Amino acid sequence: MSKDTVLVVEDDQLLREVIEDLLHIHDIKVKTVGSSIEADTWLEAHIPNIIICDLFLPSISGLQWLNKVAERLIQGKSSIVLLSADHQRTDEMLEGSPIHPLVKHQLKKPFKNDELIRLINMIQANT
Amino acid sequence: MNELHPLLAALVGELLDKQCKEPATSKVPINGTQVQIHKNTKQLLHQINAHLTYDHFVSSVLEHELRTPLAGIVSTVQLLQSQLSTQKTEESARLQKWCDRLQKLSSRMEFLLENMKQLHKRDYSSQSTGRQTREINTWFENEQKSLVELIKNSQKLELETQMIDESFEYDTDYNLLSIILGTLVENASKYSPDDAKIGLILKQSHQTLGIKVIDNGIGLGANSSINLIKAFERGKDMDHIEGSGLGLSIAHAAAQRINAQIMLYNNEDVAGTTAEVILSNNEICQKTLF
Repeated sequence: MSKDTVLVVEDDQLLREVIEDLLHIHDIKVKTVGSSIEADTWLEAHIPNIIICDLFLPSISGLQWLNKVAERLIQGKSSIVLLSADHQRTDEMLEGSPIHPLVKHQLKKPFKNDELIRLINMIQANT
Repeated sequence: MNELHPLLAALVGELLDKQCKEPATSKVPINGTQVQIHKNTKQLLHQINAHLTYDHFVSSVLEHELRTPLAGIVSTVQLLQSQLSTQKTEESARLQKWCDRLQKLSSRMEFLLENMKQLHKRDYSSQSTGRQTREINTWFENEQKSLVELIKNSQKLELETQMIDESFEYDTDYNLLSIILGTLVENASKYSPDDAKIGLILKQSHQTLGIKVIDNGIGLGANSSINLIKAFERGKDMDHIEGSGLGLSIAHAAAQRINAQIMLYNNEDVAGTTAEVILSNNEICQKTLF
């Protein structure tokens, strides 16, 4: 699995499974992980086209983790979709961070399945 | 978790400021009673801060945490719906109806979470409160689209305006007003029959400006508005209806922040309840109706 894969970083197993099912139905290659540690391990050998990342992860926050791996994501020209509850606050936190240019969209939970699929298709069409 | 609530921080700041300004020569010997009062005050402030900190935790962290399972439910329902839409059996039609119901309930939960967040943000944000001066009539008509989302598909929403001045401009926090109106409409829908008509009237007289939400639901017991407003308390004879008073307590808190009042009373000649938001009258800041 490589550049055409969507990496989903979400600590809630059930939501992870739902997103995985949804993407499978739409023939989108997906890899799901439950923590930043798992994501780090996967990133050692792969580079995703898109990362869908929850902001609240168990050990470090989603933004902290993304900034930690920013160099690799910038090199691989990955796009990021954030799962966030407060767009305004997330925008403030993103300001000036290395991953800011990679963040294409923020989705508020709960989101519409169609919206997520449309977003993925749009990003994939433009990369 | 040790940060002070803005209101408490302002109070402590004022007290410290006052203490600094007092001349050193005015030091009066402190007796035992004063020491005890000082200790009690300090303890009280600690307790208030603990409550406010907990409130902060509940409003911010819980709001986020609840969104994750809710997202799982909503997305699963949508997956089910898309599968069912390909089948044209009687069974699939019934399952589709159940999915619609689950979706409506999820929207209701999201509405509550969003309102909790908005209130919390206003209490903790150092930014402006979101006050605006705008034509209330136009705002009221524009609200219709989002309000329809909050009622059952089979129910009807009817808007009416009774304004002395159609282009009257009113200064308030319209986000909070949306929370209040949405909560009252959602509440009216919840306690009304499936085919109910919910009336909304924006009324301006020489003395008052207000909005009425009128339903033909099960009505209230006399003087039950106090109980309805208290968080998590249900109205009398409403045990068979899902939900709690959380929505109304949020609406009440929002009303307090814009110096508005909410009154709930039974309709005079027909069944049902009227919820009235009084936005402005001569005595609104002095008098409490609860």
